[in-house]
Amino acid sequence: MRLRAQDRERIKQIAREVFGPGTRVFLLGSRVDPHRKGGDVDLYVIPAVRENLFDRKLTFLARLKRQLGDRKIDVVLAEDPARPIEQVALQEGIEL
Amino acid sequence: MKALAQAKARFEAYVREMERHLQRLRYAWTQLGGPRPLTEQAVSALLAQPSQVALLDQIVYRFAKMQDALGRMFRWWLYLKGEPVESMSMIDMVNQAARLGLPIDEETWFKLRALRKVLAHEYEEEPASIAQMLSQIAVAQETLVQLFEAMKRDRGVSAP
Repeated sequence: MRLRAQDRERIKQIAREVFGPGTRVFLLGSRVDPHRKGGDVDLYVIPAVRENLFDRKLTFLARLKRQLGDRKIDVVLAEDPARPIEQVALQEGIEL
Repeated sequence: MKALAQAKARFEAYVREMERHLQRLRYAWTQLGGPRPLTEQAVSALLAQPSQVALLDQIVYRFAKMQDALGRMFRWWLYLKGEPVESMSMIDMVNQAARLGLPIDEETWFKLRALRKVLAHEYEEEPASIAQMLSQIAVAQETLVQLFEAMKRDRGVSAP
């Protein structure tokens, strides 16, 4: 995993601040998406709270950028576990 | 002083560009009876009418253009205040602008950028998602307008 332990903790903490306690976060490898480059951070999030999700997603991205520096961060929020991207995330992602 | 005159001219050109985008943006919102939060049902009804979809597209397009113009204008504003913008990171610029009295902070700035990125790279299809996106645009538009007005009010030069 390319992220430092300290960054993984921060991501988890921010996710819980923004999406509520009980939120689950998975780190996806670049092999999940052939268009991704090394250094990109791809996250799959299963939010505990689902109200105003769009606003929460922007807040999450903003706080991650402040904490992790200006690297490319992509976030996929859980919507429907049958979607291929979510299947891959659940099978290949590493839960933080 | 030629560089200074050019910088002022660039800044003023962005002021005019901003005003055009804002005018178009406000027109589109007025046609939809806003800016106001739209419900999922309201968005579904809009999506059924091509002329209304064109208004939604106009809002997204003009908002994105306005945000880009504001970002460039912001650099020139700082430059005209005598700030060494070439050697400043975006965070430095945002924090320095806040110290100089602009209504902005780091989290707001990053949130605006996150919205911009989502508008550029993601495509929302679900009425509920579109409704939430439009609400965010309405809020962000107000933030950008406040920032724009503050830069226009305080457009004096402090010796670059």
